[in-house]
Amino acid sequence: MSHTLPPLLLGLFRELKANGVPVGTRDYLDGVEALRLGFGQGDRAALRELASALWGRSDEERRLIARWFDVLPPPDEVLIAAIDDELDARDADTDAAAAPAAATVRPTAPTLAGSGAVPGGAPVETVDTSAAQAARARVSFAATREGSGLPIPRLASAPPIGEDYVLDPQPLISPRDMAVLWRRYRRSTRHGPRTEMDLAATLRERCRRGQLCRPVCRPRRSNSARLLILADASPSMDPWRPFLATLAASLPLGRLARAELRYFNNQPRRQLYATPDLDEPEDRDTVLRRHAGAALLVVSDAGSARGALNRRRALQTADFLDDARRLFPSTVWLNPMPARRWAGTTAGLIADGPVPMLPVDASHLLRAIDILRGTK
Amino acid sequence: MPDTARYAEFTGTRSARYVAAPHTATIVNLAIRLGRPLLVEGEAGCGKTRLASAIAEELGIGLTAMTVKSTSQAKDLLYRFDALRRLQDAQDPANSAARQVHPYIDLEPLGHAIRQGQPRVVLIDEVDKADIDFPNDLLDVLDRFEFDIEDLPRAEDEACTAARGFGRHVTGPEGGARPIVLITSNREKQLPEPFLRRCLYVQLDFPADNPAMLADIVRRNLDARLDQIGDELITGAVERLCRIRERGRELGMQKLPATSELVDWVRVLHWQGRKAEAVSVDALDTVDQAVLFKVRQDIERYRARTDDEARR
Repeated sequence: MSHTLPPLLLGLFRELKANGVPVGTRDYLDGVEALRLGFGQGDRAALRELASALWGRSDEERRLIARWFDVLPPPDEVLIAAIDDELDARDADTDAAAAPAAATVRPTAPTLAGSGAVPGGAPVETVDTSAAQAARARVSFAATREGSGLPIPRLASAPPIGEDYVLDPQPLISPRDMAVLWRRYRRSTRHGPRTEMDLAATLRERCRRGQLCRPVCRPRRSNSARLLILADASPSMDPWRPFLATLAASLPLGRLARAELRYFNNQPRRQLYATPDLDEPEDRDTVLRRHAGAALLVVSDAGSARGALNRRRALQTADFLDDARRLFPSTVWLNPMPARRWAGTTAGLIADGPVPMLPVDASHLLRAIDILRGTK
Repeated sequence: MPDTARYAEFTGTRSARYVAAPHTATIVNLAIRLGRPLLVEGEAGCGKTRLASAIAEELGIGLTAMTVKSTSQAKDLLYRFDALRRLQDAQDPANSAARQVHPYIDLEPLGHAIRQGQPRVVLIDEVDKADIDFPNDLLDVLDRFEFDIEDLPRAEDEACTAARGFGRHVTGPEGGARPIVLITSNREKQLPEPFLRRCLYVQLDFPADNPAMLADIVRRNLDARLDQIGDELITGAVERLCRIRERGRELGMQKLPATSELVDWVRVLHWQGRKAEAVSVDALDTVDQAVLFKVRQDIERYRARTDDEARR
């Protein structure tokens, strides 16, 4: 039994890995096992369906697999014909040899169509058909170079306009993952009406009095964490509008006690806005006072996208952050520009201040949540 | 590798009321042989849930179906601890059972399926309806087919095994079979990546390019005797439905009529004694619209389009 994938599937596996599809050892072993069990035998289409079922989890991944198969050069006809002839010759030999001992059946991997349905009368024929099929499948693997498993360079094969031009957005983070992050930001407390039965207290009460009049209730446990997000909706933040939209979409899923997202232009001045188009203004201090005691998250490039240094803006922002820190116990600044671009810009000055400024990637988002929770 | 040899092959054509496309059947077999859960997605009304009963029927094994609710927790599929009944029993000093927890723990369908280790199909329906943590909580259980009853104190482990046949750690019997797990999703919520990676995936499409298969599906699902419903009615309805779907797609309808609507429609046409030829795709009457379309905007859009064409 073979413990490696044939070159063609190995090449596809590597291509998937190179494209960031998180296929792992188990997926690889599944591929080996599936081939051993007889799946994906026959022709390229069967192999493609197998690969799609095993490794494709999203439309994008399935497109990747389809594209891989589309641009493969077809197997060499002459080679297939030669192997078929060879197999036919062997069949003839086997038939002659098998005639006296028809009852001996060679062990073989069952094909999908043949498994469990081998008629007792003609075992040899079935075995040979499946062997021939397996050989043909081997020929289709042989179309790529043996050994390396890498694809043949394919400059001439521009994909036809179609599915390949479906552009999938590649967000910094999906709303689901963002919601999972919000769930990490929690302060679990009991408050509100007493609706949940406290079993331990009820039993204690019964033991103390010897009888029970009514069950003891307690408030349900819920998240009391509150959050205010101030997001920059100025034109320099346009590339990150989808990220701001993700923030807005994920907040209701975060199960926070209270969460609000307000927008500003370049820096939080007197007014904050309810929409990214800077509509529905509201006085800044009113909003801040309303959320006093919550955590504050500021999302802005702080001038680093344009790469300019504006001391006045930096001072005003620092003043704002000083005011904010009196009302908000924990404050974090998320800057979607890479950290190396902050130096020498307004963002660099703000980052040197007391409020931590973090870039937007998975590990720093986690850290931002930890800071908001108060574990600095 | 899991013991899956005891499952026969699924062809997708032997069930009384269900026809699966060949490539769907292949993927089902692949999932069975590799012992992986199968995630089924597809348009509403294309038979995602029915696939599970078709597999159970064809392979001659039992089916355990669980519909997920928005409040479901992974634990709810495994076991239930009836604290309230225990409290009630505890009122009676003579009732010694209430001193222990295990009489108040009952296994739920998935828990039963795991403990019995019998060949069966386990369907977790509409997994995307639950909270976003739900699939993650199920991961481990579906991977190893064992779980712990966390509400059961460790001290009662042995007593519970003696009295109920399962301990704190529930697992299948030695040499037991792994159930075939099907999970359906309507894509209402995105599922977590680790969960997706553990499942095999199949998408059920409406077989618009295969009228013979559609006609076969309709025939198998009609309650009335077949000789009463002519082939012309069925093939005519199939052909018209495909055209309605095409038009619906052009109009960007939210919910296109699918297999289940097709079966209902043929039934309605038969009751009304109408012929398929008499049905014009351009002038569907109110009954047809009510059967085929499920969203008000879809009906309005379709009506506006046909009115437009009639005026021209």
